[in-house]
Amino acid sequence: MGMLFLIVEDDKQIRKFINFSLRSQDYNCIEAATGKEAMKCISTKDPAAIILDLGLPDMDGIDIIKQVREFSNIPIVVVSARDQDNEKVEALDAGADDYLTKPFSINELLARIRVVLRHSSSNKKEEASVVYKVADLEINLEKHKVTIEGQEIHFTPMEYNVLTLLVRNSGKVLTHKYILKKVWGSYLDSDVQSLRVFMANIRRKLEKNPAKPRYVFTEVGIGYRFTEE
Amino acid sequence: MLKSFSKTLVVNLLITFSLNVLATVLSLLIQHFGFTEVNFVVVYILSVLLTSRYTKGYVYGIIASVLSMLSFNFFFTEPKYTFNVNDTTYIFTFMVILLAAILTSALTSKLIYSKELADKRKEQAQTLYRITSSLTKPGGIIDVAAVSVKCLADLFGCTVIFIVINNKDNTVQEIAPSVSGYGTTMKTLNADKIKTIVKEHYSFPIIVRENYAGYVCLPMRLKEMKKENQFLLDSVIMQITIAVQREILTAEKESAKAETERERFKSNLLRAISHDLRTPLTGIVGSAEMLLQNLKDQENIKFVQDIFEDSGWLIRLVENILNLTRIQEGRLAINIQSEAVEEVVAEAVNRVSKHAPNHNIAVSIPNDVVFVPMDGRLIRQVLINLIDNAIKHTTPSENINVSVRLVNKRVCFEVSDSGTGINPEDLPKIFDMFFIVPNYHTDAKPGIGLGLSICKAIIDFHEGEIMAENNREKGATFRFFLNI
Repeated sequence: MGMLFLIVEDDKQIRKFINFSLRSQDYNCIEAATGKEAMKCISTKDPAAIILDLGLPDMDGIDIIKQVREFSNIPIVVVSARDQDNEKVEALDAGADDYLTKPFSINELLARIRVVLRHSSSNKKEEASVVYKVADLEINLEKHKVTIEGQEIHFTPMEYNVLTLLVRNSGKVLTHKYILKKVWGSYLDSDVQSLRVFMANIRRKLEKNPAKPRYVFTEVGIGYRFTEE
Repeated sequence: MLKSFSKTLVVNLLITFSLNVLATVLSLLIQHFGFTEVNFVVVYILSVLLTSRYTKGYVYGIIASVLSMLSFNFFFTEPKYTFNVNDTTYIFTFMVILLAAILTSALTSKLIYSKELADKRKEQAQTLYRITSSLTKPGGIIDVAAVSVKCLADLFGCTVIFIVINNKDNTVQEIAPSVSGYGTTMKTLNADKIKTIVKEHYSFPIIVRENYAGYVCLPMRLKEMKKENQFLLDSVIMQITIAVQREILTAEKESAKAETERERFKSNLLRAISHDLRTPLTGIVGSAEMLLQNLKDQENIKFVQDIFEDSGWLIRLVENILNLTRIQEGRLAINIQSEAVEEVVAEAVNRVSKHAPNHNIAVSIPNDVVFVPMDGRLIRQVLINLIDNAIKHTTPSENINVSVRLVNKRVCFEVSDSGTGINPEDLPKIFDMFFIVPNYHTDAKPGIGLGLSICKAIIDFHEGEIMAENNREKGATFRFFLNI
């Protein structure tokens, strides 16, 4: 059997089909219907990743994330029916690795899980790849060189920093706050606007059609995601 | 009128003469005791004073003055019992008596007149106060009318009709004292009847915010009333107008409150249902998707495919309803921020493409990044609905174009397709709530009405503009504008 996943979800139906679809991919699963149960499983069973519903009957999912992050970097994918952006953002900023809004497709869930697992394993191996390649885009992190179809593209240092941050986390959504903190070292609500301008510039240099992006995707109200493949 | 006038005349004259006689008798009496003439003069002046006090108008005072002078002349100057005078110095005395008497009487009657005026004003003020205070109590415009009718009837001793016009539901009611004299009767009138009543009476319109809220109708004979009563009447009418206005405002406030309560209840219910629907729907979609990947039998796959698509459609409907409740909840739930237009458009196109991978959607945006204040998720929803709608009306070989451009300091978003277009008859209604194209194929998915009406609600909330039209050649174009 493969890796062990913990599914924290109070709805039995959803728990069941997530479990089933993960098993079909040769993953192993344990289920928890409440926050308490979940905390117990995390400390005793040591799962490889957690799929967490934010709306639990006994405690707030965000509190679970905070508690887990105090002792572990275990990947957490948040699944939530709540349609409030700020709760998703809050969950991500509290340390969740990615999120999905109900209803989601299984393929989407599996893709997210693969991404977070890849990142958690590459963290252990300390930046395995120096050259990042996707479709026509090639980024050499060592030489600070970005090329599309062999053509070199010039980025300002700040743009380059934003781009590499996204590329290093490809497939994962990064919140505005996270990007601002990582690149500028500070976070103010008013900075989000300048981040948008930076992103618009990057998009124009990177994408053939900025309105139909190939590489950098926007999650309105949340942040940005670099394509995963 | 005339009778009472002559009656007061007789009474006043009687007072005048008797006081004069009394003064004469008193003077004769004190003359008998040997008092000097000066005392008689004083007694007569006193009688004039008393006359002025107890009669109305200074005419009697003057009469009394002349009488006093003549009596003095007749009874007390030589030759006695004639109007002749031997000693011409008496003429001077007469003049003094006359002058003193006239002045006294004029002064006194003026004093009395002022007092009467003050009393009358006091009474008016009290009446007005009584009416005003009784007008503050009623609840409802009909009550105000009933109280007004009663007050005016008491005040002028006549029958009063109050016509209440309800501008909201266009009903008209007449409130008049009942035949028995107690309470009021009510009946409903039509427009012609009002006109005749208003014409036949001495009527005052009650105007609240440039609308006729009613009429107060008094008998015609009151038209020729005294000036001070006219003033009183005007004041009362004004008080009634204020009371009516107050009642109308209160009623409006209450109905607005009830309306918001209802709205809130409705949107709470919708939201609760939608939330509860979403969890099982997620389970259904997920299970169906899973089955799709594992099933081998083609027939079963088709069934599951239908389940998958229909539940997906239901989920999008729930999503739309949730967005609608957010708009109805108003500003609190909506987060207006400066968003980059291209990001919102790109995400909308990206999302729709997942459901319809075969359709090719062309997108064009301005060269420069454009920021527009909006709720990004709601505008994204508008674009998703419009593009979904375009997909529904096209085959994958037909074109769908999404474009954004700047037009006169506004941003114009456009979704156009070369599909079946909109039935011209449906065009004016296409954004109406819950409008569904009537001759829609029964096997096709319904629900375009809700999607488009939500688009309109969202755009309206952003103080923008949304429109739909058929293209000259083929298909339809939906367009909306947002202010920068």
